[in-house]
Parts: sequence; C-alpha cells; structure tokens
Amino acid sequence: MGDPKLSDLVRSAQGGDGAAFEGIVRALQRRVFQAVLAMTGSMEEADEVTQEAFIRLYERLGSIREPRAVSGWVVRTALNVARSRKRFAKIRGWLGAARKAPEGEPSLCPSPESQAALHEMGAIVEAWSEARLSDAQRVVMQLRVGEQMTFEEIARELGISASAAKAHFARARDKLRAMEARHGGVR
Amino acid sequence: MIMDRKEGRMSIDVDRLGVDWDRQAQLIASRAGERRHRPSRNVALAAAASLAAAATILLVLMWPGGRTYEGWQDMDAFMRGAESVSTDYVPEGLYVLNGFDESGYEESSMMEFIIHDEGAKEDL
Repeated sequence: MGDPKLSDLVRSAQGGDGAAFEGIVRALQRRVFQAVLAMTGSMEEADEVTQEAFIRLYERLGSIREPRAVSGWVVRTALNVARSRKRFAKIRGWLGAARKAPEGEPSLCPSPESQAALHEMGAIVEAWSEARLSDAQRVVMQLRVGEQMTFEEIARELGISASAAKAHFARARDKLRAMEARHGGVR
Repeated sequence: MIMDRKEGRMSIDVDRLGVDWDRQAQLIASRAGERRHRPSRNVALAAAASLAAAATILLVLMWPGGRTYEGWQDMDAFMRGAESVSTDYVPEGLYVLNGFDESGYEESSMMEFIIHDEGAKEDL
C-alpha cells in the first residue's frame, strides 16, 4: 500500500525542495483534475480547484505526518473546494454578483484539436446530469473508468469504504443503463 | 471519450482534452511558492471571523435580560460547587437569577440553590 516515491517526494518537499513539490503535483494532478472535472463538468473550474488544492497542500507541508495519505488528502480537499465554490457560485447568482477572474495567466490552453474532445466531454456531462448522477457517483465513475483505478484505490482517495465505492459505481451504472433504455439506444 | 452506453460506463477522456500536464505542474508549483511569501488572505479572514465570533458571544452573554452581573457571580459559585448541586435544579436557579422570576419560579428557590452550594456561601 502507498507509493514510496510519493513518500520520498513529500519528505523532500517538507525539507524545502521545490522540485520535489513539483514532483508531487506531477504525480497526482491528473487524478485530482479528473475528480474535480467529473464533479463540476468545467475545465476552467477543474483547473482552478486543482491549483487551489495543491497550494493548500504546499501551505500544510510542514504538518504532514503520514506522507502516504497525501494523495487522498489532496483529492478530498479539491472536492471540498469544488463543492464550496459551487455553493458560492449559487449565492453569487442570487446576488447577481460577477465572478472574480482568476489571478495570473490561465494554465489551460486547449488546442484546436481538443475542441472536439471538449464537445464530447459536454455530452458526457449532459448524460450524467440527465441520468441524475450524484457528485460522488460521477467522481467514482470517472476514477474507475477514466483513470482505471481499483475500488480500493478509489476508496482510499475519497476516504470511503471500498464497498461504498462499489455501490456508488453500481448505482451510477444502473442509472446510466436506465437512461439508455429510455432512449431506446437512439441518439 | 470512454463510453459504453449499454454497459452504463461513461467517463471523460482527459488525455484528449489537450491539458499540458508539465506546464500545469510548473505553474502550480510556482504559484504555491508565490502564495507562501505573501501574507495569507485566509489569516486575515480567520482573524476577522474570530473577532466577530468573540463579539457575538459577549453580546449574547451581556444582553440585558440575559445574565446580569450578579448572574456572573453566581455562575462562578455554581462552577466551584457544582458537585453539591443537582443538575436538574441548577437551570431553575439560574433561570431566576436571570431575572425571569415572573415565570413561576420563586425568588426563594434561587436562594435555596445558592445556600446549598458551598462555593456560593462565600460569595453571599
């Protein structure tokens, strides 16, 4: 269990090694980004939230006692940040307040080729919405199918039991199948 | 996209979204470093929230009709001699102390409470 390389990186980063911290980001960013993307359905949001989660990790490096737990901590922090931003977005919507633009240059620059992929991503997110997948179901579905993680790995990352992860996945699959059956396979 | 509609398996294929992970990692690491050298906005927010919470607690405790000065003294006494007082009885005593004796509790019940309490005798 655990990733010794990641543990080494965490220990080096705790000692002030900036390159080691970048190594942690490289090792985990894809997973964090996917989880948030599944929850929000927005590339920009996933980008900003992923950054925020790693910056929070950086600020807490000194207090980490169990380096193997870092991966799950970042994923859960990112999902919590995404959830609270969703809530604030709703409040901002009620108040009619404009959202503040993120600081600095955007880190995501999708190529023209990726526009088609973005369109397909929109279709997936739409299908998830139509099938009424919960946030947890979306995240588990994405990590299982998109990131090919085992249920035990997903459980560790999300701080839930493996059986809960399986249940989320099974429920999501049932909902998507039912939606498919309603459409009669015609798209 | 990774999609098997009949099997109910659908997920976003992030590899096709054109994310430059190397650039992203460098940017995050550099932003994290910048943030550390800047006074945290969170610290200021936390300080403001703590002040607001403290002010709210003080306001509630000192609110007219709430705990009076005498109430505070007797609360101290209660805290010191708590073992000798039945917990069922205490709220009644305190309730009267708070000046709500018109609610049916006699003033004498408050006195009884205080006299039964060893710590309170000294204050009296």
